[in-house]
Amino acid sequence: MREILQAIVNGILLGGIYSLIAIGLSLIWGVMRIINWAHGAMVMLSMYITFFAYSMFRLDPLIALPLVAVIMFIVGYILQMILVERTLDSPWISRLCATFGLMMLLESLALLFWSSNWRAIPVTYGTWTFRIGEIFISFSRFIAFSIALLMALALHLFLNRTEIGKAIKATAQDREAAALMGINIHNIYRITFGLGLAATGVAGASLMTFYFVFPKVGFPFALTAYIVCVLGGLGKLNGAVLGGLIIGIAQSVSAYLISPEYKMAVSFVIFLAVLYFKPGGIFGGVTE
Amino acid sequence: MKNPYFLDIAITVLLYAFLGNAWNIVGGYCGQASLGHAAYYGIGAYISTILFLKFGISPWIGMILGAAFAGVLAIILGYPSLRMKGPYFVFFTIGFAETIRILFLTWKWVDGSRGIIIPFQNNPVNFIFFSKIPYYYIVLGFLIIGMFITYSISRSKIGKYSIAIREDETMAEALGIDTALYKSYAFAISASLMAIGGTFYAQYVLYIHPNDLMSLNNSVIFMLIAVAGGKGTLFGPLIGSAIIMPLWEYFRATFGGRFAGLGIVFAGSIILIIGTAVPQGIMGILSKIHAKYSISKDNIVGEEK
Amino acid sequence: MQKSNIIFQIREVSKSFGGVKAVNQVSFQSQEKEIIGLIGPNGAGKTTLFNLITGFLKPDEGHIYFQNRDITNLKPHRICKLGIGRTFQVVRPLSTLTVLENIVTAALLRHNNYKDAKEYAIYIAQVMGLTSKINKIAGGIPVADKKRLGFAQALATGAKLLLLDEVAAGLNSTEVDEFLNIIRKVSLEGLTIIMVEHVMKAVMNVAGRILVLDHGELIAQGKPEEVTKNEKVIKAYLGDQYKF
Repeated sequence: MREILQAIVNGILLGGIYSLIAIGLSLIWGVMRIINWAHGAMVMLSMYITFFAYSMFRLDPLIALPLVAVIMFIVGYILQMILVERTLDSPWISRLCATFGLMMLLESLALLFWSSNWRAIPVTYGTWTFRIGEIFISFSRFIAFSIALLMALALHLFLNRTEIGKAIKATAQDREAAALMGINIHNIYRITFGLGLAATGVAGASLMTFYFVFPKVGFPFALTAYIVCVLGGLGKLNGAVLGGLIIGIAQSVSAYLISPEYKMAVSFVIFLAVLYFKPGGIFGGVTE
Repeated sequence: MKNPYFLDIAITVLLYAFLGNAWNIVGGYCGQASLGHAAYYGIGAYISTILFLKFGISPWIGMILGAAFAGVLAIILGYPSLRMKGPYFVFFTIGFAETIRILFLTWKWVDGSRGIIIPFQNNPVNFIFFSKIPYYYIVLGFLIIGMFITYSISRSKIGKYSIAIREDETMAEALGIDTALYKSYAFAISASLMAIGGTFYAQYVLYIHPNDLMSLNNSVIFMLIAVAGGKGTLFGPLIGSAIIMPLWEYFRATFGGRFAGLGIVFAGSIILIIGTAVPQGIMGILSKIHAKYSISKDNIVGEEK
Repeated sequence: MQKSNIIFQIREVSKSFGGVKAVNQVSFQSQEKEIIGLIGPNGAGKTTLFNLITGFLKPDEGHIYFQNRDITNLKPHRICKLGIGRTFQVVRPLSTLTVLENIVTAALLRHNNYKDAKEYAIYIAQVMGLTSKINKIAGGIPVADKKRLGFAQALATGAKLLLLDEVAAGLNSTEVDEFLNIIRKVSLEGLTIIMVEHVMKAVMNVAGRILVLDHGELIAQGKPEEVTKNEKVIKAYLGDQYKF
């Protein structure tokens, strides 16, 4: 019983990070109707940036985090401007090719320049744990989880309380109406993509406090993020949060009850079940 | 005779053209962009291999059985996806293929995680040959048959209905087309051909592993070959394969190891460029040129009323 | 007295969307070869009714019968096969195909052979006046021709009952007259037609009977002259600028 509880707690902690990654993906989809197939690769990129911030400047990941977020925002803004924008009026295949090609490029360049060796950061608090009752909680995972939730909250406030945020929501609802109201759609798209990637930046930096990076690390995170998005409802950010926690718990518990190899399989079964029974996800996201 | 290195590239080109053609039936003509086709590729390879190694059944027969099984599986598993639209459908196919891959990976009876080596007992009945030349002619034959199948479909009721479904599913229903049925047809044919390609691969490489066969990478390549050449066209997959695969092989062979990454850098760039600039693929470019030429011909001949 | 032949019946059909009754207990029937006009202010539920009849929506209650067969819960393609064809308010040709290929696709329902379907399609194109355009790409032809194409496709599926959704909208006077002629011709050949229309001139001139829908309810039925004088009908239209 204690072990299952431990598994659930660990699942929640990891789930928070899934939520954050998924929020970025869901936001991009909700506003631009694009699936960013390179999302996982962006997490990988953030993790490498965090790693090099440490190896070159001795920056602790949590210190480097805001920097990484800003860098990823800029990367996203520029990518949207020079690449994704061109595909907006083309058939969906173009968008798939653009983002998928980007993923392939990033992963192979990472392999080329940084080799396939695993890189990790030996943070001072890496082994700290604290206890609540019989449950052990890793300090770094807890911090990462908290940051993820804080970021989600920040994003929520941004979207609902600031002018730009509301403009983004308006564009997501009705692109043409927003344009008619004088909103610069292309700028909104760039900001949105930037925000989506900034979220991966925060997630990546947080991950480096307890995880390791290698060129293909993004792939399972990306798959999980897609599952979370669908589970929560594409375009629904609170769905992404809830979905992330659910998937995190499901993976953790199934890894414990069955075996670690099956955790992806279990995620997929949940995913397939959601797609079949309630395609809109928990919160009934956009099904078009 | 032919240099074995070039033969190998030629065989790869033809095999992927065959696989791209199989994807094209459901993805290009019917408009259902599946990114899970590698699962059928792998299933075909595994069925013929298991039947061969554990039951002594010739891979030729195993190939037919694998194809039949894949076709039926496609209909059954495809059923829930018939109602799904857009990215949800794509997600479903990805999820489905990944689940199958993990299933095979963890399946002890087929030694999933280690893969299976097929012993080299070369004999036509075993579908194993010493020289690459028979493989070349076999895969060429497969490709011709595959393209013939695509050609017949495109001129038949199944083909016309598939295209209607691709263009506008609601309108297709209003025209009396049982969209669920025809999508299933396209899936079944496509999956069967994929499985045949899988058996060929198994017999050529003599080693199969879930991660080599059933990867998302493979699924994407099948789609890309068809799209780069021109999806929904007869020669698209062949053109796409003829351009992409040799260059891919070149990078892989010349650099290898860490620099195998270069091949993917290159492939990624192609995909990026084609995707953004030329969604209709090479056939699309060719037909635009043809159209321009036709119009100027009309102007010379006289005014069109 | 001629024995009437009821080909189509809709009984107490209702459909709600989120608490709003889009179609409320609608009942009527149609005899063979009738041309029925279905009119009503915007939002009255006319297209919803069509969607219910053709199987794109399921009624919450009630039944629909075609040729004495209950078609209430059948899928759209089944209903088309049984002989009900329709056009859409917003035309939807298969844009990357040619006009001929569009009609052939429809004709394949009754002709399994591509050659036969093509021959029949050429004939239908002729009936609809599209012969000169058969090799044009459907996405690039003018709206009036797209409407003709939609009509041609519905005919090519071998429809016995044709549901026309605002065929006259956006057409000029000549084009409307051409359509009306085709409708009359087609009706003489044995088809039953129910047409939704806003263009009054069109429907009043060709329909034998008019049904008026308002807020999902059938408020009047009868000959065109009777319906135009009906108080309820006039009231329903007050606020719209329709003149009779």
